Amino acid sequence: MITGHIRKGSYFDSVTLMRVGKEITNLPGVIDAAVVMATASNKAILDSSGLLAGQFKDAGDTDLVIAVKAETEAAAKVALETVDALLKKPATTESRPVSLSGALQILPDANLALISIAGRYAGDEAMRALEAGLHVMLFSDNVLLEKEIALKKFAAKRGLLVMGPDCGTAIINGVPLAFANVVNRGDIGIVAAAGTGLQEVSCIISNAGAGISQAIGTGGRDVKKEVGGIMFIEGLNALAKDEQTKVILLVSKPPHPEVLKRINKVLKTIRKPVVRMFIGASPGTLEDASLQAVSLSRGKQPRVAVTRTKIPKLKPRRKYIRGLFSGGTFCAEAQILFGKDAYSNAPTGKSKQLKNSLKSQKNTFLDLGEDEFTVGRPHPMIDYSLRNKRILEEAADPETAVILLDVVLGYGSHPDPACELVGVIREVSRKVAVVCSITGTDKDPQNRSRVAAALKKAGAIVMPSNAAACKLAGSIVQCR
Amino acid sequence: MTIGDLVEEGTYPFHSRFKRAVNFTDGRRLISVVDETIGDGPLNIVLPGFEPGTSHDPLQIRTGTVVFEGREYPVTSRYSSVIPGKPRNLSRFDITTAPPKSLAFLIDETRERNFRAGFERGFVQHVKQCVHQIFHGDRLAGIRQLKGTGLGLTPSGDDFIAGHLIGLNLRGEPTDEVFEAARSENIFSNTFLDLARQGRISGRMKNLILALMTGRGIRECTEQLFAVGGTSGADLVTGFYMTARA
Repeated sequence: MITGHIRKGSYFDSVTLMRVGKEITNLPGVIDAAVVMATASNKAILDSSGLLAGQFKDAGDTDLVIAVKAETEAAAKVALETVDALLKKPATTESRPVSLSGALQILPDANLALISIAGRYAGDEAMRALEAGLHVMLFSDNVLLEKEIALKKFAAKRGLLVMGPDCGTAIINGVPLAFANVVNRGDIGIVAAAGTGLQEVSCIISNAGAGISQAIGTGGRDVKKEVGGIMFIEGLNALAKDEQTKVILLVSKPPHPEVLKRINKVLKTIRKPVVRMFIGASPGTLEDASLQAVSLSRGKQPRVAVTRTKIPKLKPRRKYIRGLFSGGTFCAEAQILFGKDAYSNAPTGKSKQLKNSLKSQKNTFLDLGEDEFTVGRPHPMIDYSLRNKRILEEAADPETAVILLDVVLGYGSHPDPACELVGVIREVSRKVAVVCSITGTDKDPQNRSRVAAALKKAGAIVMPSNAAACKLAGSIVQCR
Repeated sequence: MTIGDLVEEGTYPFHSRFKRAVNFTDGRRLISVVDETIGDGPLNIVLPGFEPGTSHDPLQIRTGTVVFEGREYPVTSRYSSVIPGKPRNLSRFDITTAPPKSLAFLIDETRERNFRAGFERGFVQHVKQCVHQIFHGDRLAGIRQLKGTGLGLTPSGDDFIAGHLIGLNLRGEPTDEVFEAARSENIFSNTFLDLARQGRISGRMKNLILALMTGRGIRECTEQLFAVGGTSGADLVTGFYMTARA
């Protein structure tokens, strides 16, 4: 049913009307709603959206109309009453500072700045934050290497952290920052120079019943020779001192040998158990390392669910894996686990460089988060259009046996990945095996179980981790 | 206290009061006493740190002084609202940090995903059709359809048209017909559309044009404009940018 009312001669600013519109749209039983001035244009849009109640036709430019489409009369009544209450209530003071100093005036006790601006400006802004005594999470990429080194040296002298540049995720004192998941709090502290790697281990730990004290991202370049692992070591020392942290888990692609030497030197001074997962250099997988940390935390082995899968019948010519990843760490882990000759746009281990990233060769593992795919468009964790197109192309290749996917949930990621993927999976799973891992928890806004159920229903095989998905994909093609 | 260059001497009755602005009117347009976060404008009187009271007394503008809520303030400077010149290069203009629900989707269509509800999707389609008309069809018909589109005191469509008028001024093209097509019963919109028609701009818009002229401080000035209202600043800039580059 569609209903509404008119408030004659009422002016509200757009911030208030947006807030009210959003709140009533989220009410149970409300299908759609709009709170707008009754201009001719807005009435035309209300009409085309099926929200134009009969009485609105006489409202004019200076009148406010509240339109509600609801499942029941009762739901509509609640929505209209809610609007009245919200419009009477003074708007919460919204602060939109335009500078760091402005933000500090509003929040003088803040001790961390999250910086996400164009890379060429981000370094200077980060330095201003450090000078103000703040820890920094630097989400921005394209920060000059020399700038990164200067920032990290400056911070280390003052006992501050610089997480990044290009640090996509962290969990500090239980607060997820940027692309992070809603995980249990607990006693396992993580330092990671691999963003999706950090998300994967924190989710596996949480799903196994343990929890995270702190998860410190450093940005992938930190463990390179030039930066020298400054923040990896600072993070490690911070967790060593942190009373909430009983077990430390380190995640990274293999650090430069000189950096590894420094890390090992620090590790000798730490009295807490430390699990190391340097993908490609350490034995095992991200999942193995996570479960080992859980076992150290809880003093017993975690129970691991056995996933039974039915492999679809494939035509004999179909013999290759096509891994289409949104997370760079997952793409790297897949290549390491596959072990044999494969192709990638971001080769790791024994893989070879793909000649043309738009065309797969034999077993191919693609990192769709690489710059070549993301310039001028959102990251594939947010925008599924590019990957969906590629899934269809790969399935149309008569040699593709398995399409291997990662689905990353949590803050910042697509709010409804199942909705994006179900259509294409349904279409291609008749021809190829679709094997997915889901990085997330049931507390994430998307809800892991709900996403898993939807993908399974569409025909995908959902595995509990990226490693498990990669191993299954490998088994399918090896059997052929 | 800084006073806009189009504020004329006289007595103006009270019109309305907001958190950072008190408006007075001559029946045709609004003269506003604002704090420094809103800043300079052709019809603004900037009184740093003022807190709106409850008085409905008229505003009195005399030579060198302003009487506001019973207190007399000396005028220390006049703000010149004339467009300072023509930007050399618009390529460094960046809408990345524009508010999600702003009309910046007209420049970057991936932003359309921020509009999910039925009304919002209808809004996007309507705005796109109108803007296509403005630039590739019957401009005045597009303006008439776009005016009043969106939320709030100054609907997004009106902000976009104001930006369009500033862009037309910059290109030396006539603006009167566009203004007449955009005029409505909304005195807030009519005031700033009339100013844009005359090529008169706020301090923040002036700073952005200056930044685009010199190539310095473009990001800071763009973000300061984006911070105006819910989406008003970004909608204005979108209209300006699309017109100036056309």
